[in-house]
Amino acid sequence: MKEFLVPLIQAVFVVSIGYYTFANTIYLVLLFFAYRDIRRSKLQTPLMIQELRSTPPAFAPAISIIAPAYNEALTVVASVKSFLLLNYPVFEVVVVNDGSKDRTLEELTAHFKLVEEHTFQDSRLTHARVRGIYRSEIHPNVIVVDKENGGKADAINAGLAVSKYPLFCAVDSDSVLEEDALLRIAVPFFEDPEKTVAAGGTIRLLNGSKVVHGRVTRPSLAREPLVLMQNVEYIRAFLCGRVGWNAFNATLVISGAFGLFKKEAVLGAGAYNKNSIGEDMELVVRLHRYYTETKKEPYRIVFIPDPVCWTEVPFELGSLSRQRVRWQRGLADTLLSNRDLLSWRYRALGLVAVPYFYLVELWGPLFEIGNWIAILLAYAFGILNQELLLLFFLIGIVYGLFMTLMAVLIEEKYFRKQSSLSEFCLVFLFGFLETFGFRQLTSFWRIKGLWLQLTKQQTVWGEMKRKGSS
Amino acid sequence: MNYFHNFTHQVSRIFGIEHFSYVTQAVTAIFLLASGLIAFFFAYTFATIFTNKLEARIRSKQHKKFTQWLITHIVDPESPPPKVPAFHRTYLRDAILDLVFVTKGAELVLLKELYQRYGFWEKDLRELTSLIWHVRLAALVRLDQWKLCLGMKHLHRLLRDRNPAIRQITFKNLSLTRRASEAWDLIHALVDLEINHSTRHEIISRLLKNHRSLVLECFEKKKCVPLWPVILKVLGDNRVIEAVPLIITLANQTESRESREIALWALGKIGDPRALFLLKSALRSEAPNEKLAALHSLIMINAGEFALTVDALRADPDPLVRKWVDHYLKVAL
Repeated sequence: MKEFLVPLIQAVFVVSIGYYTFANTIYLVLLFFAYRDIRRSKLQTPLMIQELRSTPPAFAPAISIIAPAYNEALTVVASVKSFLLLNYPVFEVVVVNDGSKDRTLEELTAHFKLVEEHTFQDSRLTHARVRGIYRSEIHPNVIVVDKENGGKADAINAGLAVSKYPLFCAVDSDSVLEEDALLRIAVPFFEDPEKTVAAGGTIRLLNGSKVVHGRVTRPSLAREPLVLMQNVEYIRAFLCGRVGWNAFNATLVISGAFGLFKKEAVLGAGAYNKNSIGEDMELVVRLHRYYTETKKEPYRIVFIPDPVCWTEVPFELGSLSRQRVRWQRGLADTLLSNRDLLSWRYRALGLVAVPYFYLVELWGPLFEIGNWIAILLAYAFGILNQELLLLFFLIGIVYGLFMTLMAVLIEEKYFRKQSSLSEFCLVFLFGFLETFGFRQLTSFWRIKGLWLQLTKQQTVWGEMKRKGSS
Repeated sequence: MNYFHNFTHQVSRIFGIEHFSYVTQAVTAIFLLASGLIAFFFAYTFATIFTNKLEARIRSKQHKKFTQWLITHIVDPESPPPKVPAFHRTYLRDAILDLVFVTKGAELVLLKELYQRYGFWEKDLRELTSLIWHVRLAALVRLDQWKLCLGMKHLHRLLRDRNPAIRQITFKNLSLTRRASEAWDLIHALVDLEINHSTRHEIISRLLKNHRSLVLECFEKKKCVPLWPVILKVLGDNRVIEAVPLIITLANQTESRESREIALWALGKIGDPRALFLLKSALRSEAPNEKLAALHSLIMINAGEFALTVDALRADPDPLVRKWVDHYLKVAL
């Protein structure tokens, strides 16, 4: 048995060490580019915001905010009010009532004095039947589309069909936006309106923060360890996994919670796909394809490092597990159905980003869990090679830990969202702790998601429990 | 050292490269060096967090102090100025610029005088020529807050700046010009330089306000041909009725399909009945896009004229034209 296990475990170790070296080196390179981008952004963005604020409306690109709402009678009015308070020269708010079974439409009608209107609908977009389109008498820039249920992607398509501005911002109606979120995310479109196709913004955790009138007035952290671990994970993922890819124009994910898109580009690419599990990533992949294969024009899809949107994350294992399984299924669905992206035609996207997403994001959990199983087996059979274990510890744990802590430090240095020193220390501490236990747990859920997607099993998503913010 | 040697030897053995253990030694050494660098950055970042927090506190305090004084100064220009140490001057400058947003008229003039008196204006103009991109951008943004054209003298270099944001703001600022010669230079720059379509549109719109005849003269200059589509669109959007004869002439003479199509749309937006003859003749055009533009414009000017021609268009070979005819029949008649 031992004779058979020794070479097998050594092989697993060698493959895992190779995987960790590749993954962490990519993280290091991405972190370097992210740091460069953040420095540039910190110098340029405040100036551009100042310029956009003072600029006549005609120079600022007009934006349609599209907010799908399903059974959100309790929060929808507050959300729309917070959207109306956004600091931006020209925008409209399109709320899509996606066949809610509660009083969502009635609440909107009562608060905003909605009256029915016959508005032009773009016939290029397909979606479930629209029952009526309403405009607010109090705020003429608020439009409500009442339609039959068809899911989030379908609701955004319906909102897109009635929106009138050249840019649209898809937001979750339960997200809380920074006051100047639109100004910040519009900067790439102001700088280079012809080439910029989409821009994503960094998302922060809302749990524990104080929200007044739809604004985060006191950013703070919840004390649940699970939330603190996710906080560290978000910081690392957004800095390394998203902002870093700007340098290669290889951004593959713009979060569905907050993203700004050029309407014509999205329509050209075929709008949102309602049959996709991860519709946000799938849309970005199609935009890359559309500009590379069909339009053959230079373009850029960017991710801005400024935190612009706050969202509540799961605080219990059940919800978190379902969320991670869903994310991994969406990732697998998009990547496996776009295998031909692994091509030199897509330049850095096809040669670097997509291989990274396949190896690290899609199959990575298998290497991570496989390595830990190999350690346990080797320990149980007394064949643990200390040097190899040390090498794994150096490359897999210490190297990874450095990446995490660097990301936390960069976040603290440039964005300063942790309001006190004690909270900063807490985040720093959980930067260490997150590596042991939480990462392995998420890897396990990701393997489960991958398995469910490969075997095409149906799952029930369930609803995430929310605490709300004080 | 001994442990380092043993460690690299063991690792080389596991990977089956005992004869190349120097490779493992080099990799391990690089790894340790990288770790050292990261650790250094780690300490540096940690230190800057505290200095940043300290600086933010000072800035907030000074900004408040200077804003209070500026408000007093606006009410009573004789009030004594506060002491401004050299390292606090930027806080005063930012306080002045923040007030520019909410002031106008005589108060704005007073603020500008202060801005010049403390040497900020001159410094900003000097910084426009800086080699560091963000210094140029910051200076340009500050100067642009005053809503005054800075002139070609200071900005001609920035029209060709590598940073797209600087180019955009420069064009935007220059479009405020009141001098005809500068407006001409700007139009030439619009032809020669790569600038996005929406910015071009806004600049032509601005120039139209102060230099209407100059913009219309573009139709007679061969150099300006690339700008014709955008000028036609601006004329339509701004309903410049005096441009109708020029647009009709251009639509009849131009060989560019794009310009002709936009001219037809523009005539509809302006809504002058003098264009009816041209629009009706354009309905017989071979290009479906021109036909659609003429159809749309005809309805904008006079729906009755559309009713007279509708029967012929219902049998049009182009399905898109037939679809739009049906649509117009529903909404316009």
